[in-house]
Amino acid sequence: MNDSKQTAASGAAVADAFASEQAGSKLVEKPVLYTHNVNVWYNDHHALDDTSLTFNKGEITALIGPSGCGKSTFLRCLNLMNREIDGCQITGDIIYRDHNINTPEEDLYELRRSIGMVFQQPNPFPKSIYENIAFAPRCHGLRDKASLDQLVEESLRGAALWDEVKDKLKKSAQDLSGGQQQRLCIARALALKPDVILLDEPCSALDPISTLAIEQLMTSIADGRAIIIVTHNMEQATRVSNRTAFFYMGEMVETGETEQIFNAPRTEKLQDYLNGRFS
Amino acid sequence: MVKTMPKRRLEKVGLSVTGACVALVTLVVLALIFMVAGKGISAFLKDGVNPVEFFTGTKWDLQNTNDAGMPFTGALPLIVTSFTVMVLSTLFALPIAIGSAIFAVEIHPDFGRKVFQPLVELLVGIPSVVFGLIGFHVVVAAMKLFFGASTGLGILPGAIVLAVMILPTITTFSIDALRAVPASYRQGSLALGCTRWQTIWHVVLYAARPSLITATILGMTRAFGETLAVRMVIGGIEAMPQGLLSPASTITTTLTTSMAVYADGTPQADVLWALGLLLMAMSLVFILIIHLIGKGPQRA
Repeated sequence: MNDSKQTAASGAAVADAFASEQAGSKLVEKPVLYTHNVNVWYNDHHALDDTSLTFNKGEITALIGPSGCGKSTFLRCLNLMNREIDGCQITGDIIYRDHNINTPEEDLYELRRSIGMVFQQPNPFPKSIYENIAFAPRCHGLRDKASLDQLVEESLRGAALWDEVKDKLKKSAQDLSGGQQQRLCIARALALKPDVILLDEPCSALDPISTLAIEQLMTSIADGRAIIIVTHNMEQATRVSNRTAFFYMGEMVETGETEQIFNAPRTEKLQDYLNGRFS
Repeated sequence: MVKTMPKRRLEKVGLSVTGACVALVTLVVLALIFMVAGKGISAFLKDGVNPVEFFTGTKWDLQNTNDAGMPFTGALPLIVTSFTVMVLSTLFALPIAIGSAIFAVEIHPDFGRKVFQPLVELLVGIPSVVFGLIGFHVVVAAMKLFFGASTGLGILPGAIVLAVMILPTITTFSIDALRAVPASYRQGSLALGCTRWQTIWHVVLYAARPSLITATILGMTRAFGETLAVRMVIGGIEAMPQGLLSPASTITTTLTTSMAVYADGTPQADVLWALGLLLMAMSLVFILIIHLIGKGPQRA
């Protein structure tokens, strides 16, 4: 905590240490993303304390915990969205594709292109369905109409939305239902071919049927990607995730296989939380 | 025991007082419209001013009369001047207004809220005669200096003075329009790796489009109706403008200049009422456009 600003060099050292540590383990692939002692301050408020977590491709990780426990704050570190908040300071190492992204030099635009994010409230732009998807690829330089058309279809298919909207691509995205809007937001992220997708309580504004659709979608897009989802809904965590991390009061208390977390919690705090003793 | 009015009666009193207010306002508005319309139309019906001549004729001269004893009532020069001044001033003010609104909302919101907005609102409170005075001594002088214009009076200085006057209107409404764009749009765009400028240009401004158009039209309405400051720098010659720096006269400035000259009921006085009717009709059109935009399909 005192060595607040770590450099990229130390990040690389951490990466090496991690590699040697993992050498004998069953992991075949290196994690696509992991953090080491990440701390977050909002001005004087210490919102997240020394959090180290690892995310692998093909896995869905659920971040659970009571409101204000730091799970969303942590999620927003992973694509450095916290940097958009005045007075927010992130320290520690966030290693993505073998380099520390928590440096002033990091190219945020490239980073957020490969680490997608979906928010709690579906937030499609007030544009057509087509434009919602084509917008970001265009921002990143894709101009060719045929490629854009193809990308839009591919992304909508990827988000299981194509069949519902293929005849009204020019219609406003805001006329879609909440669940469709959220899937559109996922499609929008998929269009940039990310290998990490962050979802910040993506279903909390949706009805049960739409929630189910999003959960199925998460499983289908997890192949070759690390999916990280913040959720208040513990059933959801058990349904969709392989791994779970439990946060409490700005601290990552316990992490492990989802089954172990829910069936055999090791810490007292997690047991209390699962038993509904606080929320 | 305190003596109080029974509740039922209190309700009735409240209803009648507020109802009376509404009735009064409605009456004033209707009376105003009928008066202007009646007087204005009588120029065509009673005095025999030719409506076609009024809208397309290029000679406006109320002092002299033609062989039939009628003044020259071709209002086209005034209409053209009014529209030119309005469009030019909007063209000058709009980019500056939207540019500063972007800065005050998207780039330095603190500065925008605490310093810039109060400053702009200060501009609203300055009486138009002061703008006219400054316009006459600064803008008109500059016209003489830079363009070698003989008098320096004309449409261009009028448009510049008006641009400054409508700037706070458009800026204030643009600031409100940009502030009303939900933060979630900006976050969504930034989270897709788009730059701040891409976000502002393609998402924020796009989402605020209807309100920005409304802001612009409100500015144009003000420009169209503003009289005093324009009168001080435009020259006041009721002829088809020959250029941006030849003295001209708008509908409004003509009204102020000639209003007290002619006796009530004369064709000259009535045709001035017709100008008033035209102004009123234009503002009605502006208001209609704003309503249509408000009802438009893409209400973000």
